[in-house]
Amino acid sequence: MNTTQRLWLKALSLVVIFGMPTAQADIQVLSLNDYQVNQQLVLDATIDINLAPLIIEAVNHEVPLTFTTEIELNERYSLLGIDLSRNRVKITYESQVNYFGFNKIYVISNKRNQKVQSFSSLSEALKTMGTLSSFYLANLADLHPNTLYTIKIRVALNQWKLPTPLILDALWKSDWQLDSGWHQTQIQSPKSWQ
Amino acid sequence: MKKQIKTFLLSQYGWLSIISSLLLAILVVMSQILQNASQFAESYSTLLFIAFSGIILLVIFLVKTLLKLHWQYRNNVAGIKLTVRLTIIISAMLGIPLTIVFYFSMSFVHQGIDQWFDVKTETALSNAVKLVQTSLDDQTRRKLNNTQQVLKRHQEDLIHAPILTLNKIGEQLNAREISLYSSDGQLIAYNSQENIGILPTAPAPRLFQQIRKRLTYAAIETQPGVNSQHQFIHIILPVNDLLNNKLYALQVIFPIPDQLSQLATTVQVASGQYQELSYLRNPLKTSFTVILTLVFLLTLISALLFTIRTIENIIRPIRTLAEGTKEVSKGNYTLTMPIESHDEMGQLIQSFNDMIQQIAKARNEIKFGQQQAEMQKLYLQAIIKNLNSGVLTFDNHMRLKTLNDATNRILNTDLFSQVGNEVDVILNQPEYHPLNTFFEQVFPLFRKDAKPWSQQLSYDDVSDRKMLLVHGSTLPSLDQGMSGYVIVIEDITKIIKAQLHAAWNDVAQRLAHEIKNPLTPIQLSAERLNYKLSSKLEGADHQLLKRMTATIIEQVLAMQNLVDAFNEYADTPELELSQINLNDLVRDVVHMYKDPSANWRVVAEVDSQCPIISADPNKLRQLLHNLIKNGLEACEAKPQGLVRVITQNMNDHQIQLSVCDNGEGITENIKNWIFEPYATGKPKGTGLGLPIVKKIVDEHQGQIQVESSPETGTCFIIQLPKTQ
Repeated sequence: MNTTQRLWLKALSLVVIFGMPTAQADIQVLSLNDYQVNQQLVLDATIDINLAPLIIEAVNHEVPLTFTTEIELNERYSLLGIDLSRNRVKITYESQVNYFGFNKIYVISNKRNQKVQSFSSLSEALKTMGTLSSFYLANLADLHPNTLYTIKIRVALNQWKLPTPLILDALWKSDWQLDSGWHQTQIQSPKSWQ
Repeated sequence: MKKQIKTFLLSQYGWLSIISSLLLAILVVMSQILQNASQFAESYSTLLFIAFSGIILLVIFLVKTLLKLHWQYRNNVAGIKLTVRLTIIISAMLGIPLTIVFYFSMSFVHQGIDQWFDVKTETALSNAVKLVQTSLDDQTRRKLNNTQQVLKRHQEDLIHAPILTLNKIGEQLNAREISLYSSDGQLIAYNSQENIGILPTAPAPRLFQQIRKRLTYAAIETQPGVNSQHQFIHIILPVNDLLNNKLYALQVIFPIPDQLSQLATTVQVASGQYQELSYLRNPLKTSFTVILTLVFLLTLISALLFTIRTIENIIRPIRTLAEGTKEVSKGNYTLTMPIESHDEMGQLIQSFNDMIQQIAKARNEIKFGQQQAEMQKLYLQAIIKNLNSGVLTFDNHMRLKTLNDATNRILNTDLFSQVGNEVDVILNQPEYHPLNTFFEQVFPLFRKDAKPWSQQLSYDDVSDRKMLLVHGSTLPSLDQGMSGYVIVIEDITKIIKAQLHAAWNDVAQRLAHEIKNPLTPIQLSAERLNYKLSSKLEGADHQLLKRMTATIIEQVLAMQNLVDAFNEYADTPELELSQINLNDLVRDVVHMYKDPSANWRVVAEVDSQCPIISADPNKLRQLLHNLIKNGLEACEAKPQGLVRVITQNMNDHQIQLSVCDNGEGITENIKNWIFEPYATGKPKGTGLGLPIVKKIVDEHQGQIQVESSPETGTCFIIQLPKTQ
């Protein structure tokens, strides 16, 4: 669904939805660092996922939340004096947060590597989900020394993966508009690449 | 035929059917997604967008259609009022039940959703969860106690012969998997009932930290994959090697009984779904409200559009008929209305077209007939108008229907203004009193046998007596009866007068020939007798002779005068017209009657504006003499006789010459025959003076009339044309 359709639906759902945002909630990329390990470019990132009470209540009612993480490695180059950019690596994966009331555990499922991890608290689960450690990005051999590279990361709540009845709410209420936006950093080409 | 119907349905309802069906399908899918097909949730928003857009499109179509109807209503397009009326009625018939159904559907949906989450269900589910948890906790606790007891018995053996002891402990505990780890997480030995070749999953680091604190761990866990079918009891116990001062961790995994596991899973799933649904209660209501609203709008708008389109299609032939009728009412009979269908309406339009053609044909025939009749009427009117005979028609009620100019001329009246009036009404008006005598004579002649009749009548109008030959007949009607009367009047006065004139001419000629000729010898003989014998006779004889011869001569002269008068009347010489001044002529003639000794006077009252006229001066002089003499004779008995000769310039065409005396006047009866020859009432008159006057006036194309009364005397009023 494109932006126009989203705006349309927002405008049209105004007549049937009377909810208002209840509290400030957001996703922030606190840190994004790159380094090399064994000629591989890896990154560490810390993302703070702050859920509104409304969403926490939803999770505690076993409503699954799906977060989409997008990571891009872009290369900047010059052609005939014009600065251009092209994408070298693009990684998109989804993580799901579930709560099992029966076991009173929060479970994070990484749909990329199919890893599952249980937590006794939501904050612990979100903290773990927001921590990327030694995340493999690219092989240094594929990159060009003395070329400017940027890493971009974005984490957002995927509203379209919510239970269907919640979609209209999520489209209208800002509590459900969780998106870190693109956070980028420039890779300083180390000499060891050479 | 079928192809035409298909094309018609497609063109009229195709797009609407397609849009409505598409939207309905979308809404059904959305409803399914909302209820139990969450895997298609990603397309839910797209479908919602399409549904909203479709509804808006239908609303636009509806508004456009209503605006079109409004425009047609304002412009009073044929059939629009019926269309609007039917639309309102059917819209109400559709809208009210739909709204009621919508209201109750909404209520049921909201109540239904609320009933899902009633307190009893929630409590039951909660109790079920607690029950399963208690059961599992009991299982865990028992497994932990058993494990602790077995470990206590085999702790020494486990440290020295871990593999054998683990097998033994495993058999005793009936564990699915049993393994021994060092405190730093190194696997020392393990035993598994299922997967012998696969290494066991190591406990989490935090559990080793717990072991290092000499704490036991017992919990129900789920294997990776979060599949409730693979729950198990996970027990970890610290094992102390007091001799070597080492610490081991014994991990035992017990399977949960299938029945309990299935029950737990069922309860867990139900609880989870209930929790999720309880949270989604309001969003569910909102979503169902949205979908129900969209379905309501789709149904209502589609029904309205279908209704309006259907009514328009039904009304179209009626509209065509109405427009056709309007055109026909304007007189357009050349119209042929298109026949778009072959149903009853088509037959009706066909019949209407046939009827218009028949009307047009009949109308043309009537028009042609009317034209013919009109031509006949004009023809007859022209004939009647130009007839010298007067024609009068009356209807059964004796109302005057038609007349011609000749009638007015003959009867010396104007009856055109009386057309439509009954005879009695006409005759009661003073100006038509002279007609009384005429109609009193005429109407009794209409006999019941309706045979035509003819009758000669005399008619006395204001100035003259006329001889009329009147023919009468009844008018036939279509029912073989009588529709009125027709009277044809011929003025035969001139003919009678001409006959009379001819007779008088003959008399005059005979008189002149038979009488006048011997008169001269008689007169000469008398004079000769007087001459020869007067000297021979004396005395009384002489006087007798003289008196007798004088008498003979006098009577002969009188007879000569009479014969001359007859000659004059009978003679009709051509007028010798010349330009004369009537005033001078009047003065000359009047001057001849100047006699101061007389007891009468003749005076001239001339109008100086009188122009020179074309007339015969000798004839007019004779006319004046005759009238003046007549006037003087009329006022002989008066001590102061007065005769006035008056000229007056009337208008551009006529002058008036009047000779009035102050005598005793004449009676109405005399007035009618005063101009007839030898009709004098005077003992001395020849009876030809006034007829000669009338004759001179007629020869000058003039008119003469008499006005008389005992008080004012008699006036002869002559109107002469200025030019001949």
